[in-house]
Amino acid sequence: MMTHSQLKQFITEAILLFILGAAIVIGGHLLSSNNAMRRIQNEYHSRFEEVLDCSSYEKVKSKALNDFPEINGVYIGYDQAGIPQGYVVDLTVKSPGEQDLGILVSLDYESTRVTGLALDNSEIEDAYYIGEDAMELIKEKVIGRQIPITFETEDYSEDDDNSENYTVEGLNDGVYYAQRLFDDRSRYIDYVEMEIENGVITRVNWDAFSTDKTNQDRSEASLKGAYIISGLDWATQSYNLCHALLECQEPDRLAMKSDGTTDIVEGVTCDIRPFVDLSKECIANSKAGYGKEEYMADLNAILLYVFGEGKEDEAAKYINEKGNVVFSFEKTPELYTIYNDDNVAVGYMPVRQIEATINGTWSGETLKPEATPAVQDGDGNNNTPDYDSTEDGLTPGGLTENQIITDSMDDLPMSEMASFIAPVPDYYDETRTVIKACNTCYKFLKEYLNWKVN
Amino acid sequence: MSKDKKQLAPFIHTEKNAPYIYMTLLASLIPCAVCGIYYYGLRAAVLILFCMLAFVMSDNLCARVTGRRSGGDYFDFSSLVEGLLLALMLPPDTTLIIALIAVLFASVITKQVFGGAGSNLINPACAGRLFIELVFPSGVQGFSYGEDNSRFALMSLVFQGEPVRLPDYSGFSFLELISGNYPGLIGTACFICIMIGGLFLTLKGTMRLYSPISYILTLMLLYPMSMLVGTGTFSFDGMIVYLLSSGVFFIAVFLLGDLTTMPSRFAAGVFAGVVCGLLTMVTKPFLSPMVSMLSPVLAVNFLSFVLDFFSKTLSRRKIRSREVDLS
Repeated sequence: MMTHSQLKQFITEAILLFILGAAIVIGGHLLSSNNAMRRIQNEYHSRFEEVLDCSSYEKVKSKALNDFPEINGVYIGYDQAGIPQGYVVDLTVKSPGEQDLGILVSLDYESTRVTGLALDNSEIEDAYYIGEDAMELIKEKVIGRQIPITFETEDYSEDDDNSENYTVEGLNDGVYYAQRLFDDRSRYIDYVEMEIENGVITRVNWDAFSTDKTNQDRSEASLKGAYIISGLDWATQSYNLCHALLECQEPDRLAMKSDGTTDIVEGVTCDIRPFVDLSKECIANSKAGYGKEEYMADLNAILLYVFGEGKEDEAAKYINEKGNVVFSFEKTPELYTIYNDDNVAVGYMPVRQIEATINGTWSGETLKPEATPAVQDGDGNNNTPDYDSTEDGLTPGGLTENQIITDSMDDLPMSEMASFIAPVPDYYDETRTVIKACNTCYKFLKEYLNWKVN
Repeated sequence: MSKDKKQLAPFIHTEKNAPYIYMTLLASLIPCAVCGIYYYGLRAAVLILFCMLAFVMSDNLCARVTGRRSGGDYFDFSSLVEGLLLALMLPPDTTLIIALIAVLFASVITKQVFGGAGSNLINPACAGRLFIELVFPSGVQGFSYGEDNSRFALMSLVFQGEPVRLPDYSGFSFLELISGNYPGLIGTACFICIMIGGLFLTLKGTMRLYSPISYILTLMLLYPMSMLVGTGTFSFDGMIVYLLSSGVFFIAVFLLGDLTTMPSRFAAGVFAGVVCGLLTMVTKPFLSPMVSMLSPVLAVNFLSFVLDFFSKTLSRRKIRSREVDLS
């Protein structure tokens, strides 16, 4: 049986041993931590100096790393003054043959250009082999490039290997506008406004106004929670899509699928068909020098035509305070719909053609349908049977072996690609694997920097 | 035999009863627990408390089921000691489920089946730890350290992370090694804390030094030979690094110094220590570090019963022959 004195003694001894243990451990840690730091820095330096020679390195701790199992560690290199010089990312990526490749990628701190590459397969069994010669050739191609990187294609390589230089030919400068002539089931009429400067699309705005003039525009309603769709709020998706168009300059390059969605613009899950159709109409208007003012005037004329003479006051009720025609022409589809020989709707006429047809001044042939009519099913979903596209979700253009211009690369939309390179001859898989590593770095940094901002 | 030499029933009157011994053991492990909690933070504290609590509950439940429960005047501190000992031999990122499996194996299979506290043939904590090492090898590879180590991380208690390969300890300084400032098991890293625990036990008279000392000496003797045979080279520094970083001092003090499972006689204790050291060195190249260190301990635990038996028999024979000579 345990006595009181034994218990008392035990408690006293336990407290003394606790204090002694704590003093030794804390003291030992303080005394030895300098050694530990020096040793760790030496280890980092010997590992990373080949890709980024810095005075000290600091391991990045971020929740974003949890989403990237292929990243073993990310480090920031500092010079002697403590100024960040760049990132070193330690990765293990899968080759096309599903073998592991250990690689160190260093990136410039400010511009996220690749500044160094080194293989690091020391801890990988049956690692993917890239010979020294091949690696040197890949380094020549990749180092100095800004991430993300993809392979250049025939489409892109004609002018420049940089997608930012791609433009649609024949655009006239000015502000162009297009809107749908009918409302959707939420009674919104989509419109796109586009500004073109020096032949380049510099501003795009996609929004929708309600046929009920008392309601807010769709973007405003979505931000206030009055208009809800799956995924991000509609205003953000609209912004992302407009931004993507500014980058790729061509609605076809948004790779819209037959269901009206796209996989290549991050965060966009909504039906982009109205945007693509109206953007194409804006581009066509630009090529024809048909500005926003002419468009609005013609639309007003069409409105008056529908209401008939002497009903100007009634028609004026459908013009909102911003001057937009908030009237849905859904009851007069014959006015704007193009039918084929079998009387099946195949597209919509642009406003300038409608107006010219009404006035009898249209001399040209019926314009090739830019827009594809969406047929609503019983659930109110848009369905477009027999959508005429090159390939679902793919950007039109010649696809040849080893030249990828599909919807995305390494889950990154093509519109986001910063650099386009040609694969090293005879080392396509090796180049692809290294690019995969670089793009993984990009995806991590994108998420990590967002984390930091938030 | 003369009448004066006859001894009656062993009514031992000493302050060193079972609770005293176990409380002393518990106190001696405190510095090691402090070290583990200091370096690995909350998750180490939770693991330690969980193992102790689970061990107590499991032992009590078994005692109730088997009807061995005592009248209430005696609290079985052995459960706390075994739970703490087991927790200190776990990697810091062990999940609670793995720890629970080790506790249940240690408590039910190796302790209660043999009759409970003081009756077990082998060290329960050692057996429990070896069990999970053999059955769930990837479950005991969680060693977050350096910049990956956070004192407030708790996720590893629930979700098993990727196995982490421990670094080469040869790069660590002597100061780091003796102060426990290197990645390892929760409580086996700090040499100074282990020595404080050992010294405390020795001063309290609750530890036999024969086996621990002979074990360490055997390792020191055989290590150079093992290295020369295996790699053809030997360095004194390498031996020091091995002794300080492998956890052999923890095993020597708290497993081989155990009063219940180790031989009680000097000669048998020394023999057990030597055998344990020998087996450790022989199996070291072929087995994982923990298996090569813990399985010899269990082997000498089994052996200690036989060693004690022969040791006592030989001793009695000597006494008898001396008595015969005198008469």
